[in-house]
Amino acid sequence: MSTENQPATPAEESPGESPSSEPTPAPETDRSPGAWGQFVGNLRNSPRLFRDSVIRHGRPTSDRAASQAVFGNFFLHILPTRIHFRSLKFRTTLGLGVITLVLFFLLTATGIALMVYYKPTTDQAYDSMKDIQYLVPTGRYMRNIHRWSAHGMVACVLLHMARAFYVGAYKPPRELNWVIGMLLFVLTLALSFTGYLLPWDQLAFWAVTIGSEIAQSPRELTDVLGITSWFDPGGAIKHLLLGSNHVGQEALSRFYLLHVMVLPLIMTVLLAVHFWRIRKDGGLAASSRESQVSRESSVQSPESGLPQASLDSSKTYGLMAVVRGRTPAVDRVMADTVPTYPHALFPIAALSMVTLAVVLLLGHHYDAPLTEMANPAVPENPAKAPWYFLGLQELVSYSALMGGVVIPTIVVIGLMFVPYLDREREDVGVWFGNRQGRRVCVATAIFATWCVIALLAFTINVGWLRDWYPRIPQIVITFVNPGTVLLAVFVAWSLGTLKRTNSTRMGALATFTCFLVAFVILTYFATVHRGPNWQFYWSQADWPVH
Amino acid sequence: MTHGNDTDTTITSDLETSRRFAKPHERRDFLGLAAIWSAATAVLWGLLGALRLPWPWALPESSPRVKLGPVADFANITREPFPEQRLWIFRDAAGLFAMSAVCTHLGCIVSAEDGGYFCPCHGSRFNAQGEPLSGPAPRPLKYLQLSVSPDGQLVVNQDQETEADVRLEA
Amino acid sequence: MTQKRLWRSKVVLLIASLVVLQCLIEAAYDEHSTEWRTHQEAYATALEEQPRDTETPGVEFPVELRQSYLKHLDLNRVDRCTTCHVGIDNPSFKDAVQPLTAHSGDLLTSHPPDRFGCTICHEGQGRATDKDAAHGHVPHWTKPLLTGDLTQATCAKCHRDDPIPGAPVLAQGRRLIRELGCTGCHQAGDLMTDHPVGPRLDAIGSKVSRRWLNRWLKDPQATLPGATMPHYGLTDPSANALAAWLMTFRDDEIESHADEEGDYDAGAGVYREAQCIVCHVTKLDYADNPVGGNIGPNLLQLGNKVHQSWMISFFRDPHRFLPHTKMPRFHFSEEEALDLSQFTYEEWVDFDILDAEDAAPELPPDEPEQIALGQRLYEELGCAGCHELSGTKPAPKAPDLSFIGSAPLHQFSFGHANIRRSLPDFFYTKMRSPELLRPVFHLPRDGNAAEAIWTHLRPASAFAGAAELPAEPGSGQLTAILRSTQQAGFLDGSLSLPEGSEAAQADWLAAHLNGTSAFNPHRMPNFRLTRDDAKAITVALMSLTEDTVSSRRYEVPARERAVFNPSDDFGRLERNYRCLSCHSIRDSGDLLASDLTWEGSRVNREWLYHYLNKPYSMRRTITLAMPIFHFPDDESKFMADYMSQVFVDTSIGADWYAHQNEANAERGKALFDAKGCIACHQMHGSGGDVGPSLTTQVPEFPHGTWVGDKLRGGWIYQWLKDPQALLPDTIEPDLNLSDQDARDLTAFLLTLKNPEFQKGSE
Repeated sequence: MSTENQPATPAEESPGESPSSEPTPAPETDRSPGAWGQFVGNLRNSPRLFRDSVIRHGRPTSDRAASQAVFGNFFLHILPTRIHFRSLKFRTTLGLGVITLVLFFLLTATGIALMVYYKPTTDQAYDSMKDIQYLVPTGRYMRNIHRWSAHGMVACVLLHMARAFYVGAYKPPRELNWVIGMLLFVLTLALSFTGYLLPWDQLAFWAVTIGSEIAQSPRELTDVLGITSWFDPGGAIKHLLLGSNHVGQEALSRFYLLHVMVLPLIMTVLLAVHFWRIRKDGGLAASSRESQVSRESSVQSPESGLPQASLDSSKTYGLMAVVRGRTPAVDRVMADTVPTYPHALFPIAALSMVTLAVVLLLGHHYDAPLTEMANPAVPENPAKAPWYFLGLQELVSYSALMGGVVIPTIVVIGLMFVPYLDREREDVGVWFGNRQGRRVCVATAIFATWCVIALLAFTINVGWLRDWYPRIPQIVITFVNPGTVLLAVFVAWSLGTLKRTNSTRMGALATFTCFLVAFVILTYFATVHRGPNWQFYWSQADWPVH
Repeated sequence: MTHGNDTDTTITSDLETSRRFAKPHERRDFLGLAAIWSAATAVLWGLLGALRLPWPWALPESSPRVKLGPVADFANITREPFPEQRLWIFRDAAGLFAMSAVCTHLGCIVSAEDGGYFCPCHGSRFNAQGEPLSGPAPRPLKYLQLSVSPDGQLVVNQDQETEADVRLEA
Repeated sequence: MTQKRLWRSKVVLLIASLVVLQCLIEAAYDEHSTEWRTHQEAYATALEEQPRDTETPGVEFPVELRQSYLKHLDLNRVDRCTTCHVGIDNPSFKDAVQPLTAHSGDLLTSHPPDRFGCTICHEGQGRATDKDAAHGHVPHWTKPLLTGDLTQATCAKCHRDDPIPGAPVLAQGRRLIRELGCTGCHQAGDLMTDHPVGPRLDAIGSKVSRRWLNRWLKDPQATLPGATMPHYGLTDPSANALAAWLMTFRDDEIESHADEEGDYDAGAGVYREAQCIVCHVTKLDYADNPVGGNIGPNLLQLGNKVHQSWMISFFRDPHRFLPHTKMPRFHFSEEEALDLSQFTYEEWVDFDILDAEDAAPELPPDEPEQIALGQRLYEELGCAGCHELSGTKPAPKAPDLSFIGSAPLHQFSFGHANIRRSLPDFFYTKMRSPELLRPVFHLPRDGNAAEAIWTHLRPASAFAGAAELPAEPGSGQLTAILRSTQQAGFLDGSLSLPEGSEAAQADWLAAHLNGTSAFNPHRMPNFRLTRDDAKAITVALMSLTEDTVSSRRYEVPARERAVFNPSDDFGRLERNYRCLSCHSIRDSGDLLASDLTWEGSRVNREWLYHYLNKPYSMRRTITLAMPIFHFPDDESKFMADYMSQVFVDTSIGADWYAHQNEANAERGKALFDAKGCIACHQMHGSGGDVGPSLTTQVPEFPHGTWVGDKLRGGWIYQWLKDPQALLPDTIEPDLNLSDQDARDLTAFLLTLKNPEFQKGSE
């Protein structure tokens, strides 16, 4: 006997359900319908039955139903069922995390599409790119969307990182998530870089050649110390990347492997952990001004004696458990929150669609570049790295080891370390913390701008050590060059700010602002003002005519 | 059956009645529906469009239509082999026709023998008209479509079969 | 507040979705309304409208992307050109509008697209499917479409022959590269010549007049129209210095003939016998058109150029200073040489030029610095690329042209020239207007401007040794530079530095110098080529490519060539008398006179000996003939014997010799009359003069012979049977004679023997 005709138990049926109970098939005769009748009836109702098996609860009409809709959905249950209204304010996050994630999905989808036709061998890669553009339906769009999404993702990751930093979202308990975020940042750059080689055109080939030379730059140090013959990390890394001394088929195979399988897998796993940690850390960083309760205490509701949910967003959100203390009870909603459905889902959908629209428009109107086929005999001049590495390339022009390896490592690890050095809890969730923070950021921005521009102008107009002492040993330049000078100055300024304001947060703000300003200015400078032989030019129109 | 509000606490209902957190309106949400439906349409259209990706506009191979030479060269032949295209061109009283040399069993090339054709791989035999006489071949040898190109060449379409009695008068 | 936010996000979602939809619809539309679909549909429509002449229903024309997939056929390419050029092999579309036009000529018969594709000959981007990209007119595609004559450049990818049949512009270009002496400075693969293309300059000081040399160095083509030597843009001081140095190369033997005088009339007689006019322009006709041959130079101004003493020496032995000249070594005695020199010196001179030279101010004496400058100029300008001169260094190396057609584009410096950035455009501009490609000198932003200008001046030798630059930077240095360049003739002497800052003065100076060739680092001179010649050379340069197809399926090897240069005595005589300057033997020589390859089978030995001693014209209308060399008797005997025995093909006329007793001369005479041979070949004074006379009656040559004396029977027989087999370009008609008819005619012609010759012959 089927169970269809019996009323469902309350536990199975959700409240607020629109009446979608299965109609009993009208029996043709008075006898109870036999198996054949049931079969026919089920067949006739199968579309509706199918729909109901997928959308089990219909449109939610109460908060609880809204929560259930989110909670019970495989794809959505990473989101909390209720969201603090502050998290929804566009100003809070600028939606950067969502945009970055959407771009990642776009990249994955278009990447898979491209993999249908792309051939990762040196003699076929370029031709397969041409075929994708001309021979494959939607090929041109897939490629363009992929390229612009990649650039967009790198930019958004940077902006997202800046947002998280300025809002103080790295503070405990979010230190680990910040570290994971930094790892994701590095992964994004790695993915972009490995993908950059795949078209196998001149742009790609020489950009990666430069990158691999930078990887080999530890030799700058080991050569001076005379230990290269038995300790050669530079050569080891270069061979790890390229599988050879030169960029060739081996490099292409390795980069392809990294780009389509290894790095995306790691990225996916880390992304999952990243989202998980957001939930465990209590959602997006909220201002502690709005939370009246400290972490350790709990407050009891005056009426019922039941523990009132703490408003402190640093509380973790547990799953369905009624506990004292740290975890709020079921059905205890937090103040100032709204149901995720629909208050968060619509903005997320809107933001995703806007991202898609922008990327589609870009892809429709601007073709991704494809220069001549890679030719090891014909170097590009200037050979420029992808834009996100151009600032680095500028530093590399002073010293490959410092600019290419040491300074980026110090910056990345230093940034990773910030949450462990700045543990002040005030003003989390507020941009720049407070008025003093804003002043510090502005002052630091001005200072950093001045420093960078002054140093660049100095090296261009006056020169550097080798111009005055032509025979100075390279090791001196390795340690004393505009890159290291900037680093030292910024560290000094940040520590000075820390002492002056007596706040680690201010110091951290100063550090990050220095890094951001230097990154932006150096990237702009290397993009616009560096021409053939890495000489300074006011604009591309001034490049020596060829 | 709606059980929704049974377990709500007073706190919840206070919150829910506050203007700030009003429940979604009961009336139909045109804007939301329109937004969702247009989003769904856009995504669906994109996906369907993207589905055409695996079928390129030309396959990575030469065209199946091959020129075999000026038609005048075929004026006096009886049977002319074309090993590269794996076929013969015949002329009889009614005109020209082409027969494939690919054995219909598993694709080996048959050779002409004793007024018929013989496949060395598994021993299929065909008569002069290409019909199988013995051996594992299930079907007769294919006849391929012939035509004349605008510059006067005989063209065979290797992907297009015709009936055994079709002739090209040229 | 939250409601408002929610509402806002719904609106954004709606609008963004509509934008996305709009984008997707546009994309779908773009992908379906491609250019090539439009063209193919137009073609399909045109096909339907064409009248069909057979009953067979046409095979339908599917609208689809078409390609020549040649990845497996050694060419490694995929060409989709036929997607738009869909009527390329349809002859009825010869006059259709592009892209449906049929291919011109019948090249597609030998080069079918399904075996060759299109880009192997026409370049361009084969994989693209829209017009500009497919034609390669987009950035980052370095091999744009070749059309018209330029397409001949790619023939060399498979064809190794020279000349390649069907590629006349390419052949012309290759010939020009050899003839203009490009390979004197540039390596150019298989175009290298074995000797420099200009004359040897030893003893030049004893040969030419100083004023002539000054004029020549300044502008060769103005001095001698059609001169091969290109234009170097020398300033007056530079040309004078170079001439000063060249004039130091003298020769005692030549100068020992100074002040000798000969007999003008006797010289005229020598001139007539030597038949100079056969190779040289030696007079003007009534309309002032030049008359004479063009194997040697125009001699009409010979007296303005060379000293008489040199002429004497030259006539005696032309090969002494010009070992590669085509001029034979005549057997002039000393007196004959002197008389001839008197004749030429007085006869071939332009008195207007002489008068102008006399009226011009005297040249100042040559200073040692000038002579030293001249030597440096000679080396820096690369004269050694075309001229041999004892004791000089080889020419500086110019860019290697061996694979220039496939060189990467970025290696070519286009400067500010407003031309397309492609190889053919570069080559053409370089040939026609090299000054457009001259790089512009930019003052460096830092450092000493004056020093930068000074080090970039070219030719450096023109300025080295000039006044030293003052030590302190500033206007003093700039002034010194200005003076030096004025002295060297690059800037006008009236110019002076403007008032203003030093930087402004430096800019002014650099700008003015940029307008001259003072900064031009390239030594390549201006050949003043015509458009056609420049295009031909462009095609030839494009054909020098690494991009060859070496698969045996495609390669067409060169024909075997038989070059005639034996090391025996006959070869020695040939090199002495330069027979190949006029005659051809096998694949060597010129086409002015007859081909001697089978001379032994063609003529009788006695006649040959007679003719070598006393040449004559074969037609009444022509008074010129082979020059009278006055060969020593043993030489003419040797040459006659040699040719009769070596230049033989026994298959010629073998049929005649086997059946000659069956021939009937009377029947032959009747045939002669019936066929009307006399219309072209005069006999005994009547008949036409199209072909050679059968009985030579030229008053200037009383010793002429008749056809029976000269030609051998086998040759006549073979000739009558198939003239074009023996001489492919002859206009003698092939009368389809039967064997017997030919035999009879031959027998008749052999009866035509001059009795006087027969009497006197050995």
